[in-house]
Amino acid sequence: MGRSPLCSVMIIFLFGLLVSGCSHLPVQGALPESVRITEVSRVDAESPFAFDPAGENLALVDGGLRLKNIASGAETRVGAETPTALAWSPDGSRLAAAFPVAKESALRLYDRHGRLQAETRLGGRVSALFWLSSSEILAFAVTRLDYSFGANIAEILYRWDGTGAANTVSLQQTTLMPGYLRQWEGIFQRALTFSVSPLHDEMLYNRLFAPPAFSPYLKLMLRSLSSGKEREVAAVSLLSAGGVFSGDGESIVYGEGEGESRQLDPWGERIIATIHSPGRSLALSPSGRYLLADGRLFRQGKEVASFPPESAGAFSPRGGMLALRYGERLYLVAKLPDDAPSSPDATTAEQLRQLHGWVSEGLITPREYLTTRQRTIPR
Amino acid sequence: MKVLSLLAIGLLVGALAAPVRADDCLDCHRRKTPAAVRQWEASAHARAGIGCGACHGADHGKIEKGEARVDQKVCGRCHGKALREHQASRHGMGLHSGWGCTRNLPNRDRQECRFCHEEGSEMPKSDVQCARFLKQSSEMGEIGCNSCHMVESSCASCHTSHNTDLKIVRDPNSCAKCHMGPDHPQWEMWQTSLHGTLNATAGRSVGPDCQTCHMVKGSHNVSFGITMSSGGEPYPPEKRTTRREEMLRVCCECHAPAFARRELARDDAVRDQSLVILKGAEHIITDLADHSLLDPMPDQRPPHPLRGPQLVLDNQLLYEDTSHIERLFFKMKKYDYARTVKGAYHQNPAYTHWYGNAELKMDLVDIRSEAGRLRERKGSGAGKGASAEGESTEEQLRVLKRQAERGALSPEEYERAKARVLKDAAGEGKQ
Repeated sequence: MGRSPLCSVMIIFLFGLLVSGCSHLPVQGALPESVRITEVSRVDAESPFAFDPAGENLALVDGGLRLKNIASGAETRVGAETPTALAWSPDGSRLAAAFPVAKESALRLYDRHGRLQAETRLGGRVSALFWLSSSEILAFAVTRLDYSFGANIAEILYRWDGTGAANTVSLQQTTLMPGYLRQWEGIFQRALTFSVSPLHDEMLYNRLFAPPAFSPYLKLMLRSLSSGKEREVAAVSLLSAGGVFSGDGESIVYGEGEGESRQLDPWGERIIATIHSPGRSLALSPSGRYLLADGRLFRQGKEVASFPPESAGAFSPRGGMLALRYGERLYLVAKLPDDAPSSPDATTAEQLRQLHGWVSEGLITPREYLTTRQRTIPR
Repeated sequence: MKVLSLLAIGLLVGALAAPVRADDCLDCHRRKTPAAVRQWEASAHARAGIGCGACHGADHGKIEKGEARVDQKVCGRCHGKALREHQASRHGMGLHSGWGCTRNLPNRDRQECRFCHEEGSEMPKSDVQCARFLKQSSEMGEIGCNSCHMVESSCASCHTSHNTDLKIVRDPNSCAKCHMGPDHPQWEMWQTSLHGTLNATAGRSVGPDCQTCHMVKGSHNVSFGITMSSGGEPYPPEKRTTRREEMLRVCCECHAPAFARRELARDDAVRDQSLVILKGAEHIITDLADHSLLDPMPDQRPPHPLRGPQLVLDNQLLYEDTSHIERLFFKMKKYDYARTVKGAYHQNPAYTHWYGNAELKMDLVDIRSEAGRLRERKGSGAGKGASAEGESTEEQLRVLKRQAERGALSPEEYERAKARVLKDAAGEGKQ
């Protein structure tokens, strides 16, 4: 039985791919030599994934929710339903997952082995989750009511302590006309999301704004979680990923969706850096050293490598690792040379929370914030 | 043939356009609204041959739907001078001072729109609104507010609907429907004053009534000679002088000019002294609000219908959904201050003193006492970063912000004061 040389080459190539971890993630540029890229798992397209705080396990979605140990590859199947958002508790003992149920969402809490501990129902589709403490979780949801004249879109924030019903805060409502609905279908719901400051005092969310005679766009709103006071930080396109907080809680990075991304001190109202990428997907490492924008990896503002622009990533909470979803595969970019997370000490964090609160209430101006910050918090 | 057709059409159109004569209505309305017919038959309108259609129009369907009501514009077609005088007076803004837009109120009556809007227009006739009206149910608003405040657009408010007998509107009782009660008891004040007593015993030629002084020679301008706003704030000096001369001419129909001038000057003094007491109480409450001491604070209770979550102590103040001290201030301002001042101008000693000024001073005692209680309650709360007065940096900043917002601090003063507080907070200002 003869075999052609070409066939033999193909078999050897495919075998090589198999043993090398099927690393099909296209990479351009020069990553540090220490960096290792491996495929972690097959995942559902556009599905969420989340590192636990120790960076040892990943929650991911592969035909249902899975917990995967990164070192051993051991996997726990939690269920067959597909969540829309995932978040680990600060101590890593619990995982929160939101699942769509008709026009509502089921918010479930699991222990680290995937056993269900608690569940509640929330109106709308949950797009993001955040643990405010080990006993309180925030869920950001979007409801949509369709009428002949358009759709009423509402953004809602839920606060749940794991027992009873969640507290509801209505953030905004707007009506999107049918033409714009068709144009932005599948995008606007994904665009409406939030992130929370590591100081746990303020959140940044994308407020859908649909003026009668103009195209809809997003307003990035900084909202105090204690007073509910809000300030507009920027106006961006519906393609924007919104904003993410830096690890020290003193700046945000947001994408314009079309054009550039910016690093901004929203309390001092000053631009710190401009990143030449539209920011349709964003992730910032806890140290602030690495930024992943639209698949492009920046180290201290300089682009060092690029992955496909449609890939989406998340850095591990302790730094040094990047999980990257590309198509229906999840990859791990490990051993990234990184600094320790830049979280402030308890005293500084308290001082910053106070100053942020004063700006948010309009008690001091951005200029006074910068002066007072300089006086009271030494760099 | 063509000529005949045109003639027939002409006759038909002519018949349709013919004015509605009283006889057309009377057959039915003698049975359906007998009192209205009897009143009309005895009226000057009937004697002058002015029938139903002249005021009500010819569209019976519209009349039945309540869309052809006879308001001031209808009366003004013939009574132009009276309408102009009325519109120039405080009665001319009566409706809007009692109303606000009801579009967002539950169970609202859509018929109400016509009071404030021309048909087909979204623009209100006036932008004067009343927060207290907006807090009412439709039913309460109808009887408790509109029965009086409809005087703006409805001549029938005083004259009644079909009567034209001037005896009705020349009687002070027709004013009493509205000008009585705890907030402005002018009728009771007049009745129990020397003017009222003389009127009751010796007649109108000796004891003047409401109309004698406020509707001089039949004028519909009831604001003639009045030197202050309806809230008791004195008008600017120039306007005050003109108005005073007007009223003096009325007084001098009976009194010596020097006497009348002296009496009114004494009343002015009572007003000014009472206003100082009122402003003192207002200052106490504003200061409490600056220091977040009201219970509840404006942002912790249902928002004010016109101003939102703000402290409101001007004429739009409320008696519900406020703190206790603001409710005390409501009584002080709307009842006791008003009674003191109006009592003085109506020459009624008991209203000026016991129902007015004494209550006003006791209100101030109550307000000071309540303010002391609120401050004491807060006293122990001073914590980290507190000032010499026991306030934290944040509280001091909040006080400054509120003072700047109500104009008690200029922008420059505000900036300087903030800089001082922030320096102190950083430990630099006290070195």
